[in-house]
Amino acid sequence: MTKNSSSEIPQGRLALIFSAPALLILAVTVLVPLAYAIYLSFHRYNLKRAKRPFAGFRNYEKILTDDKFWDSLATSFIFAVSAVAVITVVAFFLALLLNQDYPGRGILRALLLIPWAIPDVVNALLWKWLLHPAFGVMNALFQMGGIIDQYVAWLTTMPSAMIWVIIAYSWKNIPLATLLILAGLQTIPKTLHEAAELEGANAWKRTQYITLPLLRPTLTVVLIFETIFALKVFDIIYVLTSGGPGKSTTVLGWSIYINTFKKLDFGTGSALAMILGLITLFIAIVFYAFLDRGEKQ
Amino acid sequence: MMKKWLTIAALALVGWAAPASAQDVDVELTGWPYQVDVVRENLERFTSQSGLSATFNPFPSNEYHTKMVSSFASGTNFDIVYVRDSFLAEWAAAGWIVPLTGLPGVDEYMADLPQGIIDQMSFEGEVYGLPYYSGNSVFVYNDRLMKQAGISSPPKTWNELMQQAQTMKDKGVLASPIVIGLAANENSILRTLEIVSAGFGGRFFNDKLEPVFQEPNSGVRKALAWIADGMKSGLINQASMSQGDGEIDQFVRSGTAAFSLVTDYEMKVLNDSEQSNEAGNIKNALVPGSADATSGTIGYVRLYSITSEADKEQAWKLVQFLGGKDATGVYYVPKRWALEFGLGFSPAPLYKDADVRNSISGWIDPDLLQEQAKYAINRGYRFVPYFSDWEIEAWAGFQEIINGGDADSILEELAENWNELQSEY
Repeated sequence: MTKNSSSEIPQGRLALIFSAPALLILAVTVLVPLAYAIYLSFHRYNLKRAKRPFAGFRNYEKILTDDKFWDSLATSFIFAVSAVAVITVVAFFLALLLNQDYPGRGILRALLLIPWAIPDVVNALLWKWLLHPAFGVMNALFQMGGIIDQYVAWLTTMPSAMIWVIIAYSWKNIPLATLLILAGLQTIPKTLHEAAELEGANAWKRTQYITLPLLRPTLTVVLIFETIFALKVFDIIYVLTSGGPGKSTTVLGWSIYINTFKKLDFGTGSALAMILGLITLFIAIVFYAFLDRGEKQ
Repeated sequence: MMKKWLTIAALALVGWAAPASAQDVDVELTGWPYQVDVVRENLERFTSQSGLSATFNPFPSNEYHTKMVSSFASGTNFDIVYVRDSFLAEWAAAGWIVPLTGLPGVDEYMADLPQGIIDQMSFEGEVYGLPYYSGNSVFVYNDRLMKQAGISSPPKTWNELMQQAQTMKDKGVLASPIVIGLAANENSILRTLEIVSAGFGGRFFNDKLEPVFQEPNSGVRKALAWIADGMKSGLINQASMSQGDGEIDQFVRSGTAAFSLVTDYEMKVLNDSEQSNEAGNIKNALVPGSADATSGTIGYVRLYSITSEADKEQAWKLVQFLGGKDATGVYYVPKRWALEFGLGFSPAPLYKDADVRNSISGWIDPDLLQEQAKYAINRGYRFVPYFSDWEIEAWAGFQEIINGGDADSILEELAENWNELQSEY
């Protein structure tokens, strides 16, 4: 009797062999560019200059001592906190709605996916036209509704520019959060709600003491994903405000773009990207620690 | 036998599938994708006249500068490239484009061009190409809306413009009659400020390239204050802050703005009945001035330059055809751009050309255009390699001032930024 050839290979090596293609692709598409970006961040690397000497930590020092960096970091956090709050709250209530039994629920769930299916830049362009100061539908609707007397340039003053950027961004990202929360809701046994109802608990009490505690791991995952996505925001800023008016919507993603692709200073741009990466990683670790502690409790 | 046929078939397939490489072509032209079909038709004419093959390689216009610089830096070879005057110095200093010095016939072409245009195509005393198109920014007004408001003639000063806008608002003609490009990009806020400042007798830098815009009572400060007041009162449309080159047109064409600053060639579209609701109503006038200056404007040149990697002799033949004369001795391509697309031109013979004069008279006053050119300011500061780095910071700073930010500290910071860049480079 011959042995199965796979049983002759140790399990660990077999796993490595099967994972090898994926790891190779990951290495080429993620690790190599990442390593190169780290290399660039330690060099004075400007495409417009012939010499690109080693700079040590000077790029990082220049960034961390520049007020503009701290301003854009603050703007990134304002954007991220606001957008994540809007997305999570709206997604939670949408998920509750879609978790009920009623006719047409399937259609509503399918419709929910539309904003998510639209590419980021297309979504941004769509909002740019909706908000156009002379021909935008939003202006027409608000004027018909008596909210405004004359058409408004929503993206040229603060805080309206930031508010609309957050709305446009949230509109695109609510579906993913809703789907995640909906999946979490469906793991909560209906019997718990039924028992609580028999005990006289109203909808709010059931949400407070059953849904939210059992949804905590899902909500933490949603918060992690959405915070990471929001901190990296770029497309919507690029199309809607170009970081303006002034520097009011200049988030870190926009600063990286300006330094790298407008000033062609790849050294500073890469260092900024590294800093953003580290901040995002730190936040993810904190969230995971929070999730881990919650699970142990 | 079978092996031989398979080899032949394989070779045939490879030959059929492989696209013609750039090396099969004598000269390659690279530029932003404006009227690609027309460019290719022009190149066909060049090939029929010269016997040299030529192709056009369009690069996306909104990222043209970035993509070209990355390509140059990574060693991509080009023959002839479109160059904006704003990044001429950067490309010339890096050695990516070469001067025309010593090439046959250059002096004759220069004799046909005004000195201002030659200066705008030069770096460190050498000329780097021939014009693709060139011209000035102009002030436009809607004659129909002016009459509706009872205003008989266009404003001569910036303050008079604000008064006329107020009259229009008071008479219910338009709530925000002025729209100007104040978006944070290459073609917008700084250009607008240069024009308005010139009308207040101001300039950004002195002849030694030292910043003067931050000085007390500078023309730039007056221009910023004038714009900020206009935005605050609503006479300048708030949308100006997000509108750049091209987007401004929409307001003028739709009749939602009565006064604006546009590039001269844009007037063709503004007065084209197929593209504009206000065709025939849009007139040009001298850009307003003040007690300190009659008027002011900025010139522009887009040029064809030869790269350091090109076969200079062959490339020069195509540059002459595109920016100069064809084999029949006429400015064929510049004239075609002017007649069919309204692009601005510089060679003196074209100003005298009856076809050209008749054509442009339909959408712009050629005499006023020529008069406006006299008020073009010298913008030598744009021809230093660090200018593009500085202006990126400046766009946001100027927007902040217009939106009520502290002008003193922002202007001082921008002046310091310029000095730092100057010493770095």
